[in-house]
Amino acid sequence: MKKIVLVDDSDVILDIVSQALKMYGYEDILRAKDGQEGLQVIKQNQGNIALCIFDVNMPKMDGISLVKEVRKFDNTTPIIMLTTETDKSKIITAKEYGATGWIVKPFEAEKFIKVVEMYVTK
Amino acid sequence: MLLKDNIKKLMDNFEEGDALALSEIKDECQNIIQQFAGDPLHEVLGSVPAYIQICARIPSIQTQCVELVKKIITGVEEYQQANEEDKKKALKQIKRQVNKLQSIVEKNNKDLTTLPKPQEQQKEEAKGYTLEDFSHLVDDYKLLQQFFSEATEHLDSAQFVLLELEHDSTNKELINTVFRNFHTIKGSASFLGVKNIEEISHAMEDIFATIRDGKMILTRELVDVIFYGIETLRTVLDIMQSYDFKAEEIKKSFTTVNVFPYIALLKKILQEYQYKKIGEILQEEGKLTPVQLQTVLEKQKETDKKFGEIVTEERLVEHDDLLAALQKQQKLKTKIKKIGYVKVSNEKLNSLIDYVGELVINQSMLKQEIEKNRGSLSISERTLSQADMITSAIKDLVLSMGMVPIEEIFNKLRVVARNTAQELHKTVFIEVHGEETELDRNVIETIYDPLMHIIRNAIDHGIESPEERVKAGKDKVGRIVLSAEHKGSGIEIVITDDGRGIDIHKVLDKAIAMQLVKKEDVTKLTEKDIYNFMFLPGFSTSDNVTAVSGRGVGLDVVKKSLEQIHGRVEIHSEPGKYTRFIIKLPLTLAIIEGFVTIVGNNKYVFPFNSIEEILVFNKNILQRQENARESILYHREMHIPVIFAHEIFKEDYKERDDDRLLSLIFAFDQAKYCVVVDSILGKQEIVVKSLGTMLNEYDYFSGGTIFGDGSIGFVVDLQGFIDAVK
Amino acid sequence: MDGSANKYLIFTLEKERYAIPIAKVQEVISYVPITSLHEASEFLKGVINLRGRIIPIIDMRLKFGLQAKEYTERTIFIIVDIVTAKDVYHVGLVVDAVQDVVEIAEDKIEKTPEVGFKFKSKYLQGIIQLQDTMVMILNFDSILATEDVVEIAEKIETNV
Repeated sequence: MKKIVLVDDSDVILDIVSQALKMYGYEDILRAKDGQEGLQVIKQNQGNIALCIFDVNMPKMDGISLVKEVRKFDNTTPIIMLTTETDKSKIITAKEYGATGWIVKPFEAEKFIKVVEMYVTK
Repeated sequence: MLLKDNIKKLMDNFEEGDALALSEIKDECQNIIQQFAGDPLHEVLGSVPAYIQICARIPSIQTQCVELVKKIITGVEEYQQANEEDKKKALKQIKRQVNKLQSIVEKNNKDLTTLPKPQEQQKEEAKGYTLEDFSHLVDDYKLLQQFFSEATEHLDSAQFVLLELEHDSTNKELINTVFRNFHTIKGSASFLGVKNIEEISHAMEDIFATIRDGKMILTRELVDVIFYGIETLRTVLDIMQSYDFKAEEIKKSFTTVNVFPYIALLKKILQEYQYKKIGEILQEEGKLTPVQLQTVLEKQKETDKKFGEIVTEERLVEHDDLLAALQKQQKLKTKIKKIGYVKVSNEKLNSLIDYVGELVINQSMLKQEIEKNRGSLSISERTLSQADMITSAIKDLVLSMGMVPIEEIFNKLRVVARNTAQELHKTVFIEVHGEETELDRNVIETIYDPLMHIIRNAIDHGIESPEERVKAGKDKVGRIVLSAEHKGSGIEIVITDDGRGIDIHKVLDKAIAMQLVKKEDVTKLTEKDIYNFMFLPGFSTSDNVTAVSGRGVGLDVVKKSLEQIHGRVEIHSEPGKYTRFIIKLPLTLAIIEGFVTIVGNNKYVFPFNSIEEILVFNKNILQRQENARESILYHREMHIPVIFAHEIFKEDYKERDDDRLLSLIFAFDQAKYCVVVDSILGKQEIVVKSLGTMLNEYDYFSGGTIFGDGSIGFVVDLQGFIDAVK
Repeated sequence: MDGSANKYLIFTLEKERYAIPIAKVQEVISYVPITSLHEASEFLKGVINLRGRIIPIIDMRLKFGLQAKEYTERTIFIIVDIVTAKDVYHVGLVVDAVQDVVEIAEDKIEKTPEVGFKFKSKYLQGIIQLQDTMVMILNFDSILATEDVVEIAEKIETNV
């Protein structure tokens, strides 16, 4: 099974999201705490990633820049942005750089999984 | 409708890239489609969710696609409200929109071939679990060990209760116990990430839930399947233990164990053997929509009419389809036919069989007496023949009640084999044939111990250690084949192991050491003679006494207990290849096909199936040896020893005037014997009665019988008879 | 007190009287032809058909080492229950005559005296004085369990 990459600066979000994923049988999760780390992880696992989930606001490299960097070498892997209602304006930029979609925080685990299901087949 | 309002709202507010909204739209679509199961619409809409899923990856087409889905949903609403004629039109309209959606998605998606397949199918096709399947496995020695012992306990309990359920298959409490056993195992396994155990026990739990709900019957076959599952679970647990509960190694090993075929079997059983209502079948086949089904069921409540009647009246279903569904239901019913059982104690059954035997005899005595006094009595022919018929019907029925399939014993033996193999750290596969073969209850009771002993022996002494087996070029897993079949008027049970076989020289050495045979006589012995030494008390060729064989039971006990029920046992073997025990048993102890003869003043009954031919010859052709008693008859190019039955039975022998001898030729134990008798009364069904402890010393009688005229005959046991000659 | 437990059937052999608890007696039947079993021990005369059951017949005269007596239409078989460790079965006993059924109080039964009786006391439950003669109460379970002739006649011979 291909991996799911999770990039967020909040440990809580990382934990909650990866726990939800595991609960529904998505076992292979790669976590990163900022854009730079995330970029490295994605490069290392190129071709072996089913879905990327990025936070918009992060230290070192924000989510939007990360999308831009990733799309330089990967045009197909879907990228979902995690955003807040107040940050929605940034989404348009992210889409222009090639983000596939977005989810507004906070969200219910079940609904989140349904989104993941659209992109990843177990 | 609420659902459609929801989806409309979602679509109206949709923004390109809103993944959450898109997944909800897809979900709502699926819900709507489900409502139309069995409707032509169902097929038309079927692929819409898949298209939505694909466009989730392509933000640029999302707005366009959502607009099309909107149109499709509006079309569905129109379709629902339309009359018969307009429905077709509406359907066409929907179809057009769906096609549009399809072409947009396809144009923008290069690899449509990766349409997701249903998950289950994927798994069944898979060869087994992958490492990823177990990535959630908890790496905690203590927890895994705890799970191991807990699961083992539950399996033991389930196994034990299942054996009881075989006799009491509808006992709710017992079924619930097994259900809880598997439920608990499933829960813990899922918690710890032991996915294979979780999925097997889940499937088994489902089966027992269905049985508990009265929708399935726990048949013997099903118990067998469950037993197999328990074995499988134990194997998986064993793997965990053998890797000392180290998660990484366990994972690797787990990927080599493919349990999917078994899970698939359980699911198939669940699907095919469940009792279904006629409506359920019709809906499953798409002949009735859920909405239609609901209305019919409501109508059924109001009237007294049958489901089928309403469906036909309303013209919801074609007559042929209804008929087909009814037939399907009937088939299911016969598959899961419920047979009520009443428990009867063995003791009562035995005395019933006894009494019926007496009834049969009395009936024939009565008949003879009436025949004699025909003139003075006025009993109608009909009354008499009716009584005759009833008596023989009762006899057949009661005798069949005494017969049970050998399966029960075979199942227990499987467990024994498993446990023994485990004790000895060997892996053994048990193959069973002919478990449906029926045997006399009393015979069944007696053969368990001998069979168990032979099996334990086979695993202990026959099957080599895995290392030895590999060295000898054999499969690591030892194989024991256990079979039962009808042979002649008896039953043959064969136990073959593919182990190291019997070392004939070892047996001979031991026999010489025990002074059973002189060294110089060894060449005179046949292979069979040599194997027969092994049945003598105190004879064991094992070099080292193990925990298993050290239980103090030898093959001599096996032979003795089999002889008690007129059974015989033979050994065949080839060194390095196999050891085979062949056990021959009578079908029933109560009634045999007898051949009635007269010797001296009494009637003697010989077992009919051992008689090869009846031979009359002139006594002058006998070849005598110095001792006049040991005459030899040369017949059909064979030298056959001649036995005068008079000598064995101590009856008077009267020479016939014509020098002719009447004899029966027997085939017994691969040898032939010619037994001279005075006269022959013929073949007859004989009710064998015990002669009582008093007469037990007569080994050559297996019992006595009473004939129609009230006279008594003695039933000859050939083994004892031949022994008496020697 | 349980009545039958104290009732005994009295039969005769030669001049001696013997008693057997009535509870052990299934029935008393008049002579039926015996299907003889040759090579059977001396006292085991053969078997009879009693309403569909095969019952071995033991001649008590021979069992006790007395002289054989020819059977007539007036010969009597006492059918008794024999209890062994393995099972319960029926045996027919040939005796000279059945005399009476009497009630014997438990306390009237004397233990077999050790002196004067040469036969093994295990075959006797006890003795009792009835109408001026001695009656021996037999322990059939142990008498019939042995395959030997029981030398119960020792005292009888010295009396004659």
